[in-house]
Amino acid sequence: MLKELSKSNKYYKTIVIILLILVLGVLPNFTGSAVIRLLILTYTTLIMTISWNIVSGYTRFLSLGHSMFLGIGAYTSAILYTKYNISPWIGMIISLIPSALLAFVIGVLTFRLHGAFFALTTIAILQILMLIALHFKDITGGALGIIYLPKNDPMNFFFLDIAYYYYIIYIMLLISLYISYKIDQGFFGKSLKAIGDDEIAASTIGINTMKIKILAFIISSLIATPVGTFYAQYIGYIIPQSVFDLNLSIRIAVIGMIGGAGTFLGPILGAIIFVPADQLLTTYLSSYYGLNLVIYGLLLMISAIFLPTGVVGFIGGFTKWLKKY
Amino acid sequence: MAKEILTAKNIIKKFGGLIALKGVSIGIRQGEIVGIMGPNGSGKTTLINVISGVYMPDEGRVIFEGKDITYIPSHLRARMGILRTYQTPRPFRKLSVIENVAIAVRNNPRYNRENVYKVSRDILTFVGLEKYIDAPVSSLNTFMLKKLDLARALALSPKLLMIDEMVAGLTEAEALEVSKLIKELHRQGITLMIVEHVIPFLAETCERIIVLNEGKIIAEGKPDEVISNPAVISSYIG
Repeated sequence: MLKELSKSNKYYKTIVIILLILVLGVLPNFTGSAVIRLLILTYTTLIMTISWNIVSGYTRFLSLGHSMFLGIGAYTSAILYTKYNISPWIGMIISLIPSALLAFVIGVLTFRLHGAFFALTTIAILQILMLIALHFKDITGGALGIIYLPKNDPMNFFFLDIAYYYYIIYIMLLISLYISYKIDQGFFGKSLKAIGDDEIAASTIGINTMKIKILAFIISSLIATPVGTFYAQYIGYIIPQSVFDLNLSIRIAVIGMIGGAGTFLGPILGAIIFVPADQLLTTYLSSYYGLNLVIYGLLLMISAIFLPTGVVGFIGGFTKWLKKY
Repeated sequence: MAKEILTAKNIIKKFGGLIALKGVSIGIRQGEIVGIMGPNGSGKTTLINVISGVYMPDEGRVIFEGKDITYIPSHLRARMGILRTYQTPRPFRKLSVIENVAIAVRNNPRYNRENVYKVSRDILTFVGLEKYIDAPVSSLNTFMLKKLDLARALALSPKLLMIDEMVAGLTEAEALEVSKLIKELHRQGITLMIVEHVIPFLAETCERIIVLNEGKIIAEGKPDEVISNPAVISSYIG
């Protein structure tokens, strides 16, 4: 009886997920460009948070410079296109190589040390990459960055209709969610959770904690990097400060923590709540410059005090409480 | 006489100005049950940490099955068969009871991937946690958490199992259950090193006892000889 119930439950869940995927897939046909833009922003932020969650959410090694991968993705494909006429589609794939290498090097150098060294190193690397992008003007355009003129050239990742950008980022999101789900449910994710709980205990039951952490950081970089290429093509303009952005890196970490770090649903709930709220705050508080940042700080403090396990943990606890009574 | 499975030669371990182990040398023979006792701060857990690879010694060598493992990382030592439990249980709280064991079984080359959950269930049944297989770790009491720690160690088919103060704080009935488990593990051929404060338990369970005090071995021998040793009595009474 219980088995049948659980089977039918699974069946309904699958139907709901498929319907949701289809509805979100056809959404651009029924909404205006403002909503599509908000959804694109939500999806890009969500992918970045999913990427952050794989390394920082599960293992608790906090990456505070995670937009470094977004920057590498944006600049690699943009430089390859503007200097060598290589399609950004190919640039997107090529950019995975420097990102993965950088993740490997940072991992090897810092994962042996305390988590604070990792956090500081990620911030430092982000700043160094921004300075490199500012300094090598001939290649990167320096402070002026790289600008694309609007055109319709699908082979080179240019579209005049915003709906195409929506479909691309939507597919990227579905792939990221799939990878994140597989990690969360598999032994790799369980090893990451074990490391996050107690790294010494994990290593004494045969888990190669160094290897697992480095691998997680590389996977994380591979998820975040294509978002950079997408961002460059979608916005049509990149400057060092907009892609190697410390603010964005911290926002990603805040979203992950508010949603529920180290869980599959955490980044999703965090981004759904945070991104539209962020947009509203930015719009309505535009005359009070910086007030939205004060509100984020307060939100983070409130979340750390009252929701230490994030929204996911709160919902889990609330459901248990409901069942009890 | 069986050959030595583990030899620790002249181990020195310092923490800043504190010398936790001052040239400790021990040898444990295959299939033996050795007890390690000593007052608080005598270096018992530090010795386990050095043997399991949690700490690297400042001086000395650790030899396991004839191989120098002094600088081998702890995950490789675990895979070689050197396993341990903790004085205070250290479960992975984000994982369920069976997942805690399954991730350890997964690292055991003896089992293939398809069998991971079956083997985990068997191990949990062996330690008496069969009713809690799918439960969250938060539903277990201290004794159950200690058994989960043991189950996780058994998941890697230990050759040398170091049990750190498992009996401390348990009721008599629970201690008896631990004693039975240890005897069964010994019967299966596992070499055991038991760190414990409860002297009657050690005397009843172990073939040989090593006594540490202030980072040095002060006595070694059969339980009755060691317990009546004046140096041991003085280290405990002060």
